[in-house]
Amino acid sequence: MKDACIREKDLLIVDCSLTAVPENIVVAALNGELTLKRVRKIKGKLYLAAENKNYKPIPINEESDLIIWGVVVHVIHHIKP
Amino acid sequence: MSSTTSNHKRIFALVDVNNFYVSCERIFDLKLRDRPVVVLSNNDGCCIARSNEAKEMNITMGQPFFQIRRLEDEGILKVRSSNYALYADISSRFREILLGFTPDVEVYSIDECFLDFSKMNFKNLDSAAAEIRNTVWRWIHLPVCVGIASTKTLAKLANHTAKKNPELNGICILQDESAIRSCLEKTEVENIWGIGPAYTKLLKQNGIFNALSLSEMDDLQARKQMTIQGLRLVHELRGISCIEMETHPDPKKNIAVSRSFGAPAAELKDLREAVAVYAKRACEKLWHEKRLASTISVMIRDNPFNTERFYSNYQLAAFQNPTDNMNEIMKTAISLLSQIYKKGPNYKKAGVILGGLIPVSERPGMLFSGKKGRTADALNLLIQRQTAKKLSFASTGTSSAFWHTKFSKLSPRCTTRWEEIPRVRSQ
Repeated sequence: MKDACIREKDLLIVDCSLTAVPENIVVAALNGELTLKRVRKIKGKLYLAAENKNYKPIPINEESDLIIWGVVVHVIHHIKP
Repeated sequence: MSSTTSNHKRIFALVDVNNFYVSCERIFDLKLRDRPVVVLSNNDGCCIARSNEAKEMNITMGQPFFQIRRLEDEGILKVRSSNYALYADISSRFREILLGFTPDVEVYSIDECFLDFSKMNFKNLDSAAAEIRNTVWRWIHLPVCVGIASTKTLAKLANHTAKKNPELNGICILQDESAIRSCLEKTEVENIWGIGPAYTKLLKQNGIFNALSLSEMDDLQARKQMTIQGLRLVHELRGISCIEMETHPDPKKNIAVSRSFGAPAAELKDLREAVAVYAKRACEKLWHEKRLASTISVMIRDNPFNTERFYSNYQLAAFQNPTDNMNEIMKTAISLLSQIYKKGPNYKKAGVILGGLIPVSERPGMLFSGKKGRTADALNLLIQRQTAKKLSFASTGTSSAFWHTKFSKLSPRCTTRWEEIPRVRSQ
């Protein structure tokens, strides 16, 4: 998630009470695993996209086995090695 | 009490988390959702919580783990050790959310709370109940059932009905006469809150099999056979509220040491000293009564006459094993204090409450109370607990290897340990 200024070992503050809207960075459960994605609206349809272009966006619909766990609202970045 | 309370129409809600321990495990471990899961007792002995899917597989409450190990090996069943640190923390978050709906919340057990809505002005109880369910689900990802009625006993019944009938979507409101009647009729006496095995037997001998016939029992007879407690219960079933909210812990089941300070204390270090002394005293009382504590809570508050910005708070924690270890009790008390301490108020009072007391010689009955045919399980559990105790003494001061084998399927303490905070993949 380099484009979103989120790096390895950063601490995320996640608000589960928010409803995700396009451009939000979310923690989503895909096949039971927690992953970091950005909600995208492409041609009127919602997708979960990784910032990495090698990964295809995943459509958000009834069939997809995904749960939006919470919306990332803050990032804490460690600067001391 | 005053006539205003008795004339006033009361509204109670009972909010209860479905399969609490399993649901807690499912918050962070999404792989556990929609599949059979059980949580094991201390020492990984037997099942103490089951997901609905596990119940459908006929895994029973208290079933020894070795009997179902095969299912786990085959990948059909997911198994977790009990993670009390997680459950206690989630429980207090649950309570906090409910406090947003009414200030009158009674923590009845780790996974259920009574809410007094009598003074609240909810135009539509259905939508209030739905709001509670949605909020708890969205904020802490726990599924709950809500039962609402004019007495605590009926609210408990409504909750039970909501749980047993999935088509109700987790909400049951007993308001109109006919709904209450039909619900009472369908409820067997042993499923009524406050009716234990002895009364069940007695009532059945008297030809009273369901809650409806109990509610129609003659007052004098009820009092004669089941004391004033029983009469109260009969009235509660008729919709007359007799059992009040207990927003303070029941003194009989607790050891409480609390004092008002001679002079107000504002600093954490002063409160720490006080709480340590109270915890020590509470522990001595515990020894004197030959009991073990399952939970501990610490409360602090400033001057209640300072109405403008009165601060009062308390925090509860469950011990991994019921304990009378002074070191553990004092340490936990201090750590709870640091969670609720806020700089600013001039504290006037602090207290330490040890709860869930059980005799040193007795196994904890609470896990299986109200369930049938538990003698063998009880013996099992007793043996396990005693073995655990002996072994833990032997292992003190050596390594924690024993600890790991005892809770071999322990999930991370996601909400209370920084080093165990969930990790997220970023691809």
